[in-house]
Amino acid sequence: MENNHRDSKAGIFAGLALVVLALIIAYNTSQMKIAPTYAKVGPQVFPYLAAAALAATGLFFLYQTMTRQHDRIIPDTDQTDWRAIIFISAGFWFEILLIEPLGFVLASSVLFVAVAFAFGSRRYLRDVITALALSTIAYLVFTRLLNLQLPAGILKGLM
Amino acid sequence: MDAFAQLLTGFETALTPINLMWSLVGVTLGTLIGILPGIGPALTIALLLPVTSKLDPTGAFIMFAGLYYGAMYGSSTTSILLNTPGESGSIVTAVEGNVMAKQGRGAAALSTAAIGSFIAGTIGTLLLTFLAPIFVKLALRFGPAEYFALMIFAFTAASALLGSSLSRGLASLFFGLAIGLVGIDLLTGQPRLSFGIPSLLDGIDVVVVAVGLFAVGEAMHIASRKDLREVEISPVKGSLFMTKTEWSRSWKPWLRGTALGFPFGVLPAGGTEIPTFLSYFLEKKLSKHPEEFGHGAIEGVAGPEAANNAAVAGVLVPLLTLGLPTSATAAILLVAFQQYGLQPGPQLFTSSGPLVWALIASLYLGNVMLLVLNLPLVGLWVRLLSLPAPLLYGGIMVFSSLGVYGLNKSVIDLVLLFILGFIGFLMRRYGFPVAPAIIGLILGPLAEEQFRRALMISQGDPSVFLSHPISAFFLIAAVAIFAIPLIMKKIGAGAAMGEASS
Repeated sequence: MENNHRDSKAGIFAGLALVVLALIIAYNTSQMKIAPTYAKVGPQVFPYLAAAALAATGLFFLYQTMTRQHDRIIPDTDQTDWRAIIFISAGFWFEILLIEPLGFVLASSVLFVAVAFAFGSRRYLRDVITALALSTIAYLVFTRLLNLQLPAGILKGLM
Repeated sequence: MDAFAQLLTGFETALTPINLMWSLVGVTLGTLIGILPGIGPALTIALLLPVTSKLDPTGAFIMFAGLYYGAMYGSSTTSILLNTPGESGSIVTAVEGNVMAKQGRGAAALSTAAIGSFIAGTIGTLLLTFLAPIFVKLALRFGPAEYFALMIFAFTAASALLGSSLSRGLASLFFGLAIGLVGIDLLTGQPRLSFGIPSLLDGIDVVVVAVGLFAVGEAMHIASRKDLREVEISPVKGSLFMTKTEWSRSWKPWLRGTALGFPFGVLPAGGTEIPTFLSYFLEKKLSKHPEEFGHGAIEGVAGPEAANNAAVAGVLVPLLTLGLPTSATAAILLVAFQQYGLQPGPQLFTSSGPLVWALIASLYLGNVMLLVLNLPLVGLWVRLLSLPAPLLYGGIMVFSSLGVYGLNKSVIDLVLLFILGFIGFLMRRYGFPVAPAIIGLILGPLAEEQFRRALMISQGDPSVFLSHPISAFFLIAAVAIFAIPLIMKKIGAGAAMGEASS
């Protein structure tokens, strides 16, 4: 029963998400101002087709769920560890917000440690050392050898 | 023997020390990422794109092709020793291969996988060599209407075959199409779906989407599932030299696997998974010892491993001759060609003949290198498997964000990476295949271009797609892909098939 319940939640969520995406595309496309010469096979035809296709699949999911014919897809596990997702997300947002002020090496090291923690590692010292070493090597290889600019941040004097 | 002469010239280019080095780099990197779970060839090539843009294109493509072949070799090792496939093409290998490893016959399983991959890869490359010119002749007769219909066929085939259900595949495909629409319309200069955000005017970079859906999505998925996090490695036991019985039980599955894999790669039927499953069931059916299946039958490793390598060679036929990617990796390769201003298709063979033939020649050499890398040196690779998952995925995330940030030095790209990664996680969790989204993203804009060109030529008359026979054929075939499973279900055969594949 638990699985059935989760299946239908997933079906409704997927269906709604697809329909909403379709509506956004259709509305956005309808707001375009088009020169009349392009009216026939202009830049709007394909987005409308894509929106229609998305809406059709979304409605199909909703119909499938309502009539309870959904195919069983979620593998049998109830061991979802949502905390892991939160840790990875937190690491990511740290990187997004601080890669420029703090620099690539430090921001990426925090991301690394957060991901390792999400994967169940509790050997903090090993993780921090690996993270710093890996980020520093990556930074040096990319900026020195491959001429890819990465933010040095507060370690600017050192790098 | 025009193709043969050009192939010889190709060998001259491929055998230069610098190109041999690129090939070696490619196959080594390919084996590495094949062995490591969580990163595949599509993702790796996507991450390498920004770095390789300054390289000589011949060297870059030799490396990419070696990487694609190598990933298939490497992933069998992970399947056999770890019981988790390194790539989706090796899912079936794990069934018999891991049982063999647990029985102490891991070395024999690795041998039959590597030799089978070599034979299938070589035969597949031979077929590619001689089929490509024929496909080119055919493709030269295609106009926009034919291309559009072929792409529609490829879309439906990919959605139907990559994943658990057609509706899920289509949802993924349309999602990819929608992302592909973002940015300035090339024909009119109109911005579409950019919501007034300047960095969206150039569209969402393929690298961001591929890395988000594959790497970030996969990492979140594995992290969220405690049962997937911990795996047990079986040690390599036994002799790498197969016994006489093992040889005699392997060679027919190798050839049959090749025969199944190659056509599936060529057809826009979506990559390497399907032929490996078919090969497994075929071997089980033909075997004199069907009772051994599930308890370590060597045929169940030999056949599917040959099938996935032959499929990889097959995928290159439509990619190079028609510009039609039929797998996620092929789609990324298409982007790599575009990055160099090259458009795969019949013209590629005339305008960049030397490059294409050097690429094909490098595949023969790469296969030999891979056999050496994966058999005598397998012990080295096995040590990689003991890399702890927290460090592996930590590293993957750091390189993913590095690759994406490095594209445009844009924090917005990192935000998009996170959003797409979360979507990729949800897709995995709820059984939506990711590959159709990548194919839709890359093939969508090309399909739209052909669609509009066809309609401009016909002055807006949509019947052009049905009045051209080749175009009509592909559209009917696309409809058939939808219709056949529905009809099968009605007859009741669907239930039996569902049991067989579960």
